[in-house]
Amino acid sequence: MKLINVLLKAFAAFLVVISVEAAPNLAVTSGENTLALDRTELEAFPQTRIVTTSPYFEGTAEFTGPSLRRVLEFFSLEKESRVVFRALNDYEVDGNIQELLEMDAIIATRMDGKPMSVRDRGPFWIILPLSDRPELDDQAFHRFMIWQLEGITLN
Amino acid sequence: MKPGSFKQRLFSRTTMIFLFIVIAVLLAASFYTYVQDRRLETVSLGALRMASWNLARMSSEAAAFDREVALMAKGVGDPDEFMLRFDVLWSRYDYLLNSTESLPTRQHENNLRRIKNLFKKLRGLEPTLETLLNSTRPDWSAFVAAWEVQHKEIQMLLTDNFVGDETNQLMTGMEASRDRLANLRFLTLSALVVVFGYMAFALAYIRRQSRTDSLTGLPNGNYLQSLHEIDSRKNIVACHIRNLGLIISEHGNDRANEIVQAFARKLGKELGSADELIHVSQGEFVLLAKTQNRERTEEFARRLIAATVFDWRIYQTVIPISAEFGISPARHAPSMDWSARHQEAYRALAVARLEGERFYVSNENLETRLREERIIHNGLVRFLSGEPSSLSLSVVYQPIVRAEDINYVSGAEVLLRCADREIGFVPPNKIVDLCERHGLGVDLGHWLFRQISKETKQLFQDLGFRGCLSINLNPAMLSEGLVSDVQRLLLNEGIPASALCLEITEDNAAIDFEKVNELIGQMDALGVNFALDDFGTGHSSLEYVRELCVKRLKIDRCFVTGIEEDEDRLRFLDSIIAMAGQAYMQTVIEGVENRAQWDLIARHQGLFIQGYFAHKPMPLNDFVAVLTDSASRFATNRQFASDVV
Repeated sequence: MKLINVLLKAFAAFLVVISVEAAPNLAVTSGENTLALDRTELEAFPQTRIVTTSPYFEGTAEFTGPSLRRVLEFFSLEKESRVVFRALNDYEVDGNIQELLEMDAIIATRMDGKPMSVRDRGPFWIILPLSDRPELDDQAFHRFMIWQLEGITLN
Repeated sequence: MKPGSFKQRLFSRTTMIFLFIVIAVLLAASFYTYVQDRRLETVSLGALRMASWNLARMSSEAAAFDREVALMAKGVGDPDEFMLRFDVLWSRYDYLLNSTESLPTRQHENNLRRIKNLFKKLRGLEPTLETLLNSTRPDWSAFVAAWEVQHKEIQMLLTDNFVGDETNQLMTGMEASRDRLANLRFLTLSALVVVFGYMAFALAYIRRQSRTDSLTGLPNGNYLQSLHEIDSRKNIVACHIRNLGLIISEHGNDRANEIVQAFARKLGKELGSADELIHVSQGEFVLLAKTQNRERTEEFARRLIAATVFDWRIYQTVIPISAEFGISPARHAPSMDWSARHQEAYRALAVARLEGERFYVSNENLETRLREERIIHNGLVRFLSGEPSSLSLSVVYQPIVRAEDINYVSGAEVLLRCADREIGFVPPNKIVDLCERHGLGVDLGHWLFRQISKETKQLFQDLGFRGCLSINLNPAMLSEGLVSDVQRLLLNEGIPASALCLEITEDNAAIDFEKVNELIGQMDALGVNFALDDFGTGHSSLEYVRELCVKRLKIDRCFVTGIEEDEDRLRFLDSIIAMAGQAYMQTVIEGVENRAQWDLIARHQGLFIQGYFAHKPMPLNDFVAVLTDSASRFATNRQFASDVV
């Protein structure tokens, strides 16, 4: 029994190490321009902190990460009106850029101060401030809270 | 209400407890359904769509992992990608089991159990994974086989949830749940309404029961208490079955109850439509009734009596049943409130009982009489305890003389006199009666002795009087304390024992014959004599009189009245006197009022006479005057009576 426990713990650590060292990237694409941002770079942006509840877990949690607006500012948004979010499991959701920007979303890189593994729904998660803005706490907006975020495409 | 009747069973304690339990259970169920419904409430159509969509996503994520497994098994997979897919599937399970969003998925049928199972199996693959990823020549076949099982299971889960229309399945399931809950709540509410209705009836029933006598079904004392006013044209009749206690002791409570029921029925028949009969206690009833057909109150009373006098047969025994009635009569205008009239009816009943009548109708006289009695009683209490009182007692003396010599004073009877400032003169027998009834008898006796010793001291000391003072004893004084009282209050004060003669009546003696005889014996030892007063008027036999050790007999005045006119009466008196003489008793004749009577009595030898013809009762000073009168002679220890100053 003891041996198995030790093995499991070792394996868990191994996985954590894997997911962190795998240096996940967020690919932000607009037309032909693609920006690959990793965790460090994302954390170099001015960070926004959101403490919120969500339909995914009990209680509240603290999320930190650059706001979506800040990241998208990098691109001039004249031609583009739609944005598509893509997750690791090939889940995609798209919406209007302006609407999304008004939602005060952030690209969360850390939950409760810790980087998120894939199992934690990381590496990146679009978080809306549901606690601060209860009008966002609705099915229509929940679908934008895409986790295991892999890429953002602007059209 | 007969015992065991439907109503009694319906409202019995068992039924009520049972219903309470039912309510408690329903309330608990209702609360449970409310909580459940709240949870389901959060499930919207969007959530349902999300649920079905979730399972589809899980399926596709499983497929992606499956591809990686195949690649790894072939040796051409990317470990990072493989782990990524594993983690994604892992997080899907985690999401399905723990997020609020996926509640509909979990709740549908047995999804929860299956998803938990699958997750457990997936986690079970982790140790194997580690080994496989670290070894140089891994054998993936076991892993693949285990994974295949899981994959199939996932696909089956998906299929099972989506046979037919996907969202509808979950939706109808959800709706069915909510319908069940709604029905259960409706059921609970209706049951509650029914139970509340039942409770209301039960309360009314209990209230009525508490005001109903269980034996006769008539309203009981509680109902009586709740009455506040009454039509002044109704009579209030308080009645009481005679000797019910005796009947219970001889024939048992059940028989007594039968009799009470019969009585109630008979009495009930005499009521009019607006009249009420109330069963206050076992043998006691109160009627509120109007007289019928213009009858007078007395006729009404007699009618009630006639209806309720009957014989009750128990095997060979016949018990005569009757009752006493006290009536507060109807009045034209309301003058007294309900409780005053109620009281009046009971006072009338008490008077009926006291006077041995079948009924008594309260009237002005009764009220005045009772008021007077209260005044006298209060006055007596104060007087006897030495407080200032409107009432005062005094003693007077009626000299007893020899039949042969009217001037020879052999003694005197001490009589009580009473005067009240408000009422005037109060007859002494009323005083004695009141004292007996209110427990003042002993106090009265003490006062009497004290007064006598105070007043007559001078007779014995200064005049040397040795005649006999006759003192009337009331029943309360015939107790063990008599001896010490006489010793303390009379003998120790200097009254010679031979001068004392205590008078008792036949009936008073009969109350406790043994004790009285013993007392007489004890007093005799002290030298004090007893006399039997009102001889011939009591209810006892002559043998009994013989047994009583009295030394003196006082023949009542009723035997003297008319002897000068009626020979029969004279003969009768003569025979009584002869009989007394046979018993060797001293005899005093009371009530001699004229010369003719005197002469007739004087034919006998050795008699004493007490009567108006000789002397009327007089205060002490007058008595002293009589004794010191030159013509008078009396028993004395001095040689020359006339020498007294």
